[in-house]
Amino acid sequence: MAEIADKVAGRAPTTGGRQRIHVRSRANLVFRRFVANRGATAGAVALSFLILAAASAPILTPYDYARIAPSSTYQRPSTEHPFGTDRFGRDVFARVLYGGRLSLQVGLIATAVGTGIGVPAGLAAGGIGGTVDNVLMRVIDVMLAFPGLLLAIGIVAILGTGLTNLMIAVGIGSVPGFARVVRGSVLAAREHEYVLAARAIGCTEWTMMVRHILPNVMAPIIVLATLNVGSAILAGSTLNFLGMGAKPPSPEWGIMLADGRDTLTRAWWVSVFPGLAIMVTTMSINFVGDGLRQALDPRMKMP
Amino acid sequence: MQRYLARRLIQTIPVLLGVSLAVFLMLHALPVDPVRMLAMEATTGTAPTTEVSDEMYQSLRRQLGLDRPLPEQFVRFVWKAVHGDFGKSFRNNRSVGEMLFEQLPHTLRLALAGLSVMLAMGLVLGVAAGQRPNSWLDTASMTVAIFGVSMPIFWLGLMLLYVFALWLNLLPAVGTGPAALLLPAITLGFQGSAIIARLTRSSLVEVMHSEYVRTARAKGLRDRRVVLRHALRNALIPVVTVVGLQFGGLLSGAVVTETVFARPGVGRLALQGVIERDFPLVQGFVLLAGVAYVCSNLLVDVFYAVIDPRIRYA
Repeated sequence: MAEIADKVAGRAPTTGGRQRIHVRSRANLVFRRFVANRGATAGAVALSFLILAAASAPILTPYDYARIAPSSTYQRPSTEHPFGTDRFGRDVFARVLYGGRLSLQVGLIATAVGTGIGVPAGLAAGGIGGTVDNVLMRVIDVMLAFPGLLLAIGIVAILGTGLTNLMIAVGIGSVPGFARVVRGSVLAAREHEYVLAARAIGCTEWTMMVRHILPNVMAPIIVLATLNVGSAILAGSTLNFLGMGAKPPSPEWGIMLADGRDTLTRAWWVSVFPGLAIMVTTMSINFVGDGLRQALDPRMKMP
Repeated sequence: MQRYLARRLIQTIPVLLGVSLAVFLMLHALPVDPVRMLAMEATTGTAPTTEVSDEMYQSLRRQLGLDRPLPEQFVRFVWKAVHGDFGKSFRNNRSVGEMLFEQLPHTLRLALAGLSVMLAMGLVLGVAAGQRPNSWLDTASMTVAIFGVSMPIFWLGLMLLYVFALWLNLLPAVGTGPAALLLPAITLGFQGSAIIARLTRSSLVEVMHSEYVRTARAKGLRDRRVVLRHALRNALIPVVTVVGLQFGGLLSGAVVTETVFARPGVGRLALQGVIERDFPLVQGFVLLAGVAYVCSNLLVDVFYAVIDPRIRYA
């Protein structure tokens, strides 16, 4: 009986008279659940690999991503050029590696912008309520009326094209998602008894929000932010492909595809590899985000 | 029901006004002064000086109506937009409304074709997977769906173009015929179909456990009939909402697809507007897309209420 109870509680088996209770921290539990998820582990491994590859690009390839070599244009993939060369003789492998830095940068900065605006907005809407909530949610409704990339395209139209403006635009495009999820979680968290307890001991509204409610709504924020890095990379590369961000010598993946598009008949490898890179990156981030969601709270629903 | 419809319609009005306000303010949120920009470009053609005379600046400002108080400008903007007048293009002095409506049929055709692909693929994959969870068919369908949501659609378009048009030579790469519409439609609909497939699957799996499905089985109905006539009817209800939301994806996807396949359409027109800083054109497009999206969601909500009588309109 005791063994079964231990197993259910996730404790180490009790041995003899001395009880050895193994208490697991929440972080440990979340980690165990994450590792048990095959997709999540695979995603995490792939993602670490991608980040490492982008970070150590100068070690992995002797080529410069911008160096033009007129004597070796349109080379098929070989041991010397694993992904071939493009119409300027630039090494596609080197460009994909260096482009990874840009894509990760776009994903992270856009997500920072999105959380930086969306989380406070959601906290304010859910925490203060009333007029503040009403006004904020109407603004979010209007933002949501420009679906998908349209909001980001509109913002780039205002700010002008360029990689920095693109990151801001993609980030602002993700604000409604963060604001809505945080607001919903805050409203749910407010109903808990610990909030009542905090109020009973005389906490101010501010302390309540920051010290008690915010830590309890961190799980959905972490999951959404992770998934958002992936969608921001996807959105960023799309806008770059459309010519709204970085300019051509840049090894950004979307730019590479826009460039490879013109030479599709001559050299498929110029277009295939950057596209695969985008897909593998987004997919591994999606798996990690999904694994985090299941590990943090299996009942959590994400839009 | 009628009260629900009326309330839902009234709710839409402030959103539409907000959308118009946001689009209207675009021109005032610019880091550059559009009047100065226009005046500079007008003068560089005739005089070598980059200085803009004050007189010219003021007359241009008056011409664009930017000298009026903001609220008045906004009312004018909405009034004109309701009548299909989105102002004049900064680039070729043509009416933006005319330019957009000229290209609209191309985009509508593409969007409709994309929607068909999205529904057909999404439902077939979703039903195949949801009917027998954890079978190989389920795994295969859901793998396709995962690729669908992680794949950049412009890359999918390029790959389809390469394989089917350039390599196998089965379909035309460009053109206006129905055959030339197939690849763009797949490109546009694929991502949405992945989302619909996943949702249909989970929804169907849930419904398959319900008692009325067991009753249908107990009556001795064939599998196909149980799924298609009984389970699917209820399973599709949540899918309807998502189809409405995917309409937005179709709109922004059209911008990308039109660019990849070099097709005419409003998306490509607007993209050019962004790059050339033709603000009235971008404003017209964004307003049109926003209003279309809000209205399509309204329609979906109404449709939703019609197909699911259990929804209470309180």
